[in-house]
Amino acid sequence: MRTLRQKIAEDPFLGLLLVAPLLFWVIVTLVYPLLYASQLGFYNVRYVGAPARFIGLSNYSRILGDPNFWKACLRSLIWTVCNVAFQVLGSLLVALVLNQRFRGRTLIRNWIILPWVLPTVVLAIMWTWILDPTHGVVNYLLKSGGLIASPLKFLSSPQWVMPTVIFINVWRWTPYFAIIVLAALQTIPKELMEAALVDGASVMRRFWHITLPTIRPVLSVITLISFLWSINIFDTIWLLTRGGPLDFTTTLPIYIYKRAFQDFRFSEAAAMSVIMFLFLLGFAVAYLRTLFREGAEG
Amino acid sequence: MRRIVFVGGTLLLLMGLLAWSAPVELVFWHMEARPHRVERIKELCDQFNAEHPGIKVIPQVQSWGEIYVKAPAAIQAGRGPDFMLCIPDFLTYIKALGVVQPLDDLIANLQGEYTFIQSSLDPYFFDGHYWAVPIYGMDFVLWYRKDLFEKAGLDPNKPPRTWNELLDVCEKLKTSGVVEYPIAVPGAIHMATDQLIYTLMVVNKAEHIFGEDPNEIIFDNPRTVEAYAFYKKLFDYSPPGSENWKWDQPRTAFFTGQVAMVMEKGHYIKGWVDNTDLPLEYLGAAPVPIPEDGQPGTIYYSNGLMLLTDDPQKREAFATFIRWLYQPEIMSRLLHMDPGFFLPVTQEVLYSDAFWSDPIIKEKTAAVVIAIESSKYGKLFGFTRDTVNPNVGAISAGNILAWTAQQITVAGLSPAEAVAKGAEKMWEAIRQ
Amino acid sequence: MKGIKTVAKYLSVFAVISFFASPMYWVLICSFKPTPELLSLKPTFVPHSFTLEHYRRLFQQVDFLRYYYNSFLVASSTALITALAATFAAYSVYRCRYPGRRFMFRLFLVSYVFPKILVLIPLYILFARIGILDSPLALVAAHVTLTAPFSVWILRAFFESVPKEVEEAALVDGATRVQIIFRIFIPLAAPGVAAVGINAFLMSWSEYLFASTLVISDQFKTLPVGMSFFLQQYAIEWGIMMAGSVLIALPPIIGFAIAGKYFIQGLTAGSVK
Repeated sequence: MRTLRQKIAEDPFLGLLLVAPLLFWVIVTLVYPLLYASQLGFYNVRYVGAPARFIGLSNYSRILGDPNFWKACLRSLIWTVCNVAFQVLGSLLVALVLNQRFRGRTLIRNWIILPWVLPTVVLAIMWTWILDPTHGVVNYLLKSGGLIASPLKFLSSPQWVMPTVIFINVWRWTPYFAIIVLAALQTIPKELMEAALVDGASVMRRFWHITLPTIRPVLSVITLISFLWSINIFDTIWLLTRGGPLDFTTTLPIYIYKRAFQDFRFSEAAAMSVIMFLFLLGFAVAYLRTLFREGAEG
Repeated sequence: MRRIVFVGGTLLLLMGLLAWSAPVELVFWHMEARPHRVERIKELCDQFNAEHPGIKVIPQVQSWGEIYVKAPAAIQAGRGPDFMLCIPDFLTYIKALGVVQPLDDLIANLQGEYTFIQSSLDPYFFDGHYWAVPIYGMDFVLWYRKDLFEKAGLDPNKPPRTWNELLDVCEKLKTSGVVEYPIAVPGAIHMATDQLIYTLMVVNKAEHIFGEDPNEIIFDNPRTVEAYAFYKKLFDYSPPGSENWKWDQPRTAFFTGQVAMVMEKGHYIKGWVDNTDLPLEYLGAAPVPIPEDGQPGTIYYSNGLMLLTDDPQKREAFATFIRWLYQPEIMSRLLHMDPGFFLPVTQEVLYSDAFWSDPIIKEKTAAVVIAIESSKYGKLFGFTRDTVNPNVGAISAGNILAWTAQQITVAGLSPAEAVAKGAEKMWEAIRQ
Repeated sequence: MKGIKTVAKYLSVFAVISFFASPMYWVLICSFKPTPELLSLKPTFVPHSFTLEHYRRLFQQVDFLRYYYNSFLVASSTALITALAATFAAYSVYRCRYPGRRFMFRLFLVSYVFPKILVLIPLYILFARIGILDSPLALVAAHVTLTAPFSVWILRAFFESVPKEVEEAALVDGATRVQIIFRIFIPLAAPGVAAVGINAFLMSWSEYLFASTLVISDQFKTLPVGMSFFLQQYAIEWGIMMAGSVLIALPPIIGFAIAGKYFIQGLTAGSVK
């Protein structure tokens, strides 16, 4: 006779039934596309309904020999590394500032995430307006402050465009990660901090020996999440620059999109997205393995 | 039981009768999105439907920007239109889906009654069949503001005829201080830029982008480079931000007097009337200026209607619609939705009173004549030889001519380097 | 000494707040500035006058209400379906035992790694073939995929906080499992479910890639797609864009005001553990 506890724990039929809808959905909309994209990559489909031939690995070999593909990968790398670095550092900074005691602390902590809540299109309109060469407030301030002679084309000049879109994305995501870091900061036992103060430890030492070790796991996690999300970003860049001017902000996701919907090379685009997926999977697995290994040792 | 059979049978009979007598529906997609054109097309379809109770033509507006992506998807899902507007390269693009119907008998039938203007029909004949029926043509002329010319001390009745004269006029306009920017050119990666560039290529005898062999790209040649170099010179005379300009921005610049010249199609006539308070006589038109060793020319292409369904009833209905539309009085009303822009494709319409009776065309007869005359020398890239490369759609859909221009205006390459890169991109686009 | 520290503290807080808040404040006041003041080459930081003309013209020149309706339809449907599907799946994964349970959990986590662009083209072709392309349904289907798997992860902490004894007591009383989910779990884990719902709504409301590809007809377009068209124009109607931005940002902000607390709870609890 099973105990009640056992009865609750083991109920495979119900369990499977409950998870079935989501499982079905994931299979149809994630697993199937992965398999289909892999298959697509072996044909030469140009657009929906166009006749296609099996061409084996031709797409893959073409992609690996395409300088534009590698340029897009490089841009994605720059984009991602800068985003992750500034987001993690920025969120740490913001969290430290907000960890202090001040009036209205709770309110601020609940609302600091507002930049992240804004829809992407609002983000794009907002910054395009603020950075506009003719009417934008930033150029006006720079000019009246005597820092520049003629307006900067933040979003349309080849030199400025990448740093600008990186900045905008960092602005948006930093608060999101900041509140996570903030929550972690608040798990530091007060007694530990007070003991350190009594011992006369400086701010730097307190930070290095108490704060950092405590939040290191969280920082590692948000680094991974930030990496995976940043590298996949399409909307933000597309709405701000359409990958332009020319291809100066054409990161890999944008390059894949353009290949599919502007150059009409569906199969090639599918093959590239498979390559991208495998890379991300490999990276995530390697990263997590290293993390757990360190955790076990540390 | 018997009652059920009786009732069921009657219902079936009724449904059958209804279906038999229900009008044949033809869904028609067109890309003429400006409001007055949408209205005119709807009017004509309504009139046709009223005069032909067994047929119902249903027009739906699409945009050129979306249609390359939208049409294949809709057709694939079985929700495509029965017939739609096309231009020659778009036709080849849709033809690859296997749904475009040959229209040889319809064309033969029309040829019995009308004399086609050949350049409007030729691009639609390849692989031994006609694949669309043309309905109107369009090409480029040089528009210039006579009032600004006068202010700058230039003779308003002597527009520039050669490239050197054009550059000369630009300089004079600039130094006179009447306008800061003499001419407006588009520069975005868009059809607008493609068409201007191609026009410059045509007058410089560089109209072929494919060789005798339709799989060979000969875009990279000295005359193309010259055309791009000339474009750059015009671009330098154009207001800042031109590298993002498409159709509308040059229009606004011209109508507000920010610039004095634009090379574009005939909708500038009605545009002038709608957007300025100035008399039409201040609007000047001239054939596209040509280089010293060039040839008269312009981009020219006709828009046509292609049939996408093989249902025999719908085929019949479509033929009826076309024959009705081709009558000079009806066709003229279609062409008048933007007087002077849409050019006739048959001589019967061209010489009809109906066509020339529109008040705006009456006033700007000279300009319309220039457009029609120019079309004799008009060409369309990809359709300059007897055989058509089926992948020319990829070159126009990808706006490669415009992309090449941006290699000069945005990336700072020399015309020669840019054209070399453009050729590479074209090779890539037509590769199987 | 203490004084300087306090000043430094408030200065740092002020710097952080203004860095994040000022762009939003700027757009808000710009939406109410009459056009001459808005486009003046000397921007005013405290507005001189107030007008609602941009909001009025927004509705005249843009099919705004239709886009709003479409966005609302898609976002709420996504939120509802995601909340339900994720809750059921979470209960199954965290509270039931059966072979493959762990695998499901990992599968849902791995969905993180799927690039949107990978999923886009096959879904596009699939939806075209079954005829739901260019409809709100296609969007909802795609959006649920983007949030539901991750939502299972968010719900973890909330579900674990519901004591097993409560479940057991209900079972003794003769309740069915489904009743337990709806009468006990959802109320107790309500913050989690709210967090999942609001997250799904936010994501769907803002989403652009699928919205612009899977929907092509103007009548089904959502706000991001409808509005972004105007961003590409040269002579941008800035007043209208400002007004549009404010109105588009409003539902997420309101939603966040209602359920944001729980969302943050879920976010921090799930990640810190």
